[in-house]
Amino acid sequence: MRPLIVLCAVSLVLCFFYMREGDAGLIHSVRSVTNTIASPVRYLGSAVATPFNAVGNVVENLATPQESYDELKKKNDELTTKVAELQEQANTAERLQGLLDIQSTYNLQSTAARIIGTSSDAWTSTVTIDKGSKDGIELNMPVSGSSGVIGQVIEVSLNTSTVRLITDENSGVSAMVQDTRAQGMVKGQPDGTLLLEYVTTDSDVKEGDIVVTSGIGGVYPKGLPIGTVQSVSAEANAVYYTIVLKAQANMENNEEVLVITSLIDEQAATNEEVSSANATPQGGARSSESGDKSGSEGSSDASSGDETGSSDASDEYTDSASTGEGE
Amino acid sequence: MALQGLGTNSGSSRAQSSDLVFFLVCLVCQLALATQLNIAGGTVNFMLIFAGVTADKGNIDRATLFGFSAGLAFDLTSTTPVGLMALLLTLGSFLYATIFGGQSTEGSGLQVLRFAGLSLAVNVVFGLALFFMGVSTNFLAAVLLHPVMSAFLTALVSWVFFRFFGSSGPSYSVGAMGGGRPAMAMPSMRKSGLGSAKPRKAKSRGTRFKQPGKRFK
Repeated sequence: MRPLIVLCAVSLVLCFFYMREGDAGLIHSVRSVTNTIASPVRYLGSAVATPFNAVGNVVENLATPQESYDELKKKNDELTTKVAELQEQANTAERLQGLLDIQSTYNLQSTAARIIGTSSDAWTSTVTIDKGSKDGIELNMPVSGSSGVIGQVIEVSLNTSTVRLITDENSGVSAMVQDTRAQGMVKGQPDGTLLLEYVTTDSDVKEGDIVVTSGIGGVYPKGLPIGTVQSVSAEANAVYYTIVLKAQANMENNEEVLVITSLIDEQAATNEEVSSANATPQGGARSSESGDKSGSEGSSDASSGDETGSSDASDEYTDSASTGEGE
Repeated sequence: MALQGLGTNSGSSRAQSSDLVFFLVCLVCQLALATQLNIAGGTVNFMLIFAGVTADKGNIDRATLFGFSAGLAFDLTSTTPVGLMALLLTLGSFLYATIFGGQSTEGSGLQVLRFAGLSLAVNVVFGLALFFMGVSTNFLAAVLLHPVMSAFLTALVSWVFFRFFGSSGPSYSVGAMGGGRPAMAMPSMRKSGLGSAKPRKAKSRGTRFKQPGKRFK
């Protein structure tokens, strides 16, 4: 009975101090060292899983009713494997090209990394990337995929980092509807979808609208695509809409991502923009060419808002990291 | 078998190295595979499997210690609060070893079934704790979806480990030599000083085992 009492007490003390201490605390440091030591095993797991992912892609491709894929059905196993490898390499090249595109489009100061694992528990949505403090990665750095924001760094070890995805329930990204500049905050949901909160019911939001980062929190660069509006609803007399988004970025394993290491001046929201966002959170009129816009097209003019207003800024729409939220 | 149950120095060290190997196997699986397998909102908790299989061997003190070690390893390699899974696996292993420990002759199927109960309980309490700590915000997902799927997947995978590392598997004799209580052990063979609840528990188990227990008297 004594070991039980002692070990339970130790567990409770650990839990208590973990919750109380900051990110630089002793227990967090121990976890960071553990992750550093464990990283080779994670790499191994990622390497082992890669061929299975490739096979999965082949199965998916074979099910697609296209002639080129029908021909693949007639090939023998060896050739199928070869095609799978080539397909995987082509996908990688395509993703890397996408990353280069988004890096140049948004002028991101960033470091490329690869996702080597996902969360080991079912309650949190995180991924592990293969870059750590020795590569210049720091806490709270935003992370982007080739098609948009995927999350934020919450833990850093020497050679790996943990990224909390925007689909995690504890995430929060200040955002706006690209066409109308209506302000809100994107939060993750347990089912993997995203919710755009705090958009007032006098705003103009409709299905298909693209939601981008507003840059107000000072963590994410403004204008990065987050997702597309899937549904908009509001109960009677409600102040805010219930807006469900479909995430823009793919967060599968072995995906290459960009860790944004610093923001240049034009990527951060100015004081005027912050003031304007708080003064008119419902945004303005919809731009005329809105129906033809895609996520990447709208990126460059996402920062060119016509906001003016007072300098009284509140932190209602700021990113989670800037408000100290997080594990 | 009875002599093996009493344990020798060489047998004890073999059992310790066997447990260490088992722990390392589970840790590697946790780091390499658990992060790659996420099915329908559930993941496999290999450290829970380690705790369950060692608790199933019946040595309560070792089960408690191994449960704590496994939980701490899980905590340090995941993003959840450190100490939480350690606490749950310490308690879970203690209770499991006390109630079900050493009943390995009933076959691995029943072992897995019992372990599924432990897995579900640990996952539900874990989800509940995460909900109250604010790590998880959706009650149904935290307490129902994730725990049920995780418990199911973990129990499914545990069959392999019970088969190869469990007390009824091929390494049973090694596990028993390490001070673990043999399957049909008598209450008098238990290690002393494990609490006042022991004799009462032993008595109730004596009725469960019926005649085989009396043969040793």
